[in-house]
Amino acid sequence: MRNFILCAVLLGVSAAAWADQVVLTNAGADTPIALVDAQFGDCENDTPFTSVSPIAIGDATEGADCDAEIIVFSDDNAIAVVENPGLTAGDDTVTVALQSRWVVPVRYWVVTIDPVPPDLEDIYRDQVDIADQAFNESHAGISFAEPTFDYEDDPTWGQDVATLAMGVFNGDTDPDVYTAKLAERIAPLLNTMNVYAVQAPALTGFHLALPDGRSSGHITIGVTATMSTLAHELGHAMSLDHINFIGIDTLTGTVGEYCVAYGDHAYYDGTCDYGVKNLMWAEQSGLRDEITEGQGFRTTVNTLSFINGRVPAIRPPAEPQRDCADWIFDRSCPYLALDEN
Amino acid sequence: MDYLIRIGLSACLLAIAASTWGVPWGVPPTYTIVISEEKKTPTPTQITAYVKAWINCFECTNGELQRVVDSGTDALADLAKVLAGDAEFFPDRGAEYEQQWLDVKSYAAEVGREISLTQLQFVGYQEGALRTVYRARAEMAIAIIDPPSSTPSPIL
Repeated sequence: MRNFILCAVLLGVSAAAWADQVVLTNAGADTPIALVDAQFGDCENDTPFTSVSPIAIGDATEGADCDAEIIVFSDDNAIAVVENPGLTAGDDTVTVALQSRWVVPVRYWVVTIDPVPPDLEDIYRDQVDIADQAFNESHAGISFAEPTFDYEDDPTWGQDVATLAMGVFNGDTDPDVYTAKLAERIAPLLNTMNVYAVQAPALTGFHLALPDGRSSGHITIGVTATMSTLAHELGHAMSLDHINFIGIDTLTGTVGEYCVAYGDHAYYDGTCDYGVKNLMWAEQSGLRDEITEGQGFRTTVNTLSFINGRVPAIRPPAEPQRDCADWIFDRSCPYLALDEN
Repeated sequence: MDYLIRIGLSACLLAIAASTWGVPWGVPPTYTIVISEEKKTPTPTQITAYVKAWINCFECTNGELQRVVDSGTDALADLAKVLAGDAEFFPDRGAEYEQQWLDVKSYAAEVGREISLTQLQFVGYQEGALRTVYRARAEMAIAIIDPPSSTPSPIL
């Protein structure tokens, strides 16, 4: 009997010891999340583990036919992508040195026609704070610096800019014509998100991409756009699309939400796999200040994201990059709605 | 019949594209919209939904304004309600915005920033911004549907 107990204890200790772990350095004060691609018996992708460091991830190995990758999300840190982390059949400790968030400078170019509210800069500073909060607390690992400001106050020119901006918004003005008009007076800053605030009351905002899909670092917003508009446009600049759109169900004639995500798209069922506060809803009225880890991953790794697409890039080119469009869900790209936060 | 043929062709092209790109099925979500644009007379409920989608869209790349315009003069009553600030189109979100201000304030303190607006300013700005955009967009739609009445009536 004594031998049996001893044996059981030894087995228990051994089983407890047969565990791999991820040790984080420089982790934030939150509870980090690790998504692990590995063989756990079967191949698994994006299996989530949530804990303070060290994060126990069970007995994971790098099987021949399985992906091997660890992605770590943590507040106040950039997303860490560790490809082929060296998981063996034995006990493994994978150390991940987390880096600070990637910082995007923001410059507002205020194009005025009429006098603007005296507290406009306060409003814009808080818009940037909302964006910073949304991307940080959702683990996207991107920070937006306190904005700087410049004013262009020629009313005639400002009216032309506003008219062209509305034309771009309505789809009947070539964006090149609009940007050429802006270039008459404004030299956009390199490696900076240039935000053009124009006095067009019907305008919320838009982001302009380059012909190859990369962000141009150009966002236009209406001077009186809602507080979350900038954060939404920054989502586009970081490669995200809308998570829904309004359409008509061809079978029922119902007007409703169509949700963009694998397995949940192009039909109306009244629900989507996203929280009501998600930044990338196509409507502006709600309180929008969250994104999912699936979205955050894309903002960091996608080649089209502003932090990767510039020369020199804000995020070093040696860091892993992907082409995970919103609707792609495969071994390289987590489900867009994946949300462990 | 022509319409059905176009749907079939679109589906075939999408199937070819999806298999060529190795993309999971159902990918570019906009195709449903393309084939769903039937020219039927919309119901009042649908028109209200169209108007809400138009005044509320961010980038409005999905034909939101066109759907309102296609509804013709049947949409004018709803658009007039928008100009009048009718509660159906302006749901009270004050409590949400107050909470958002508290969240941003708390977050800003954590990362060494400081929220600039007071809670009253924040909520007031947000509500005013929505009013401005909604009304400007209602005026845009009215100006296309019924140009002579594009000036808001004082009784609204």
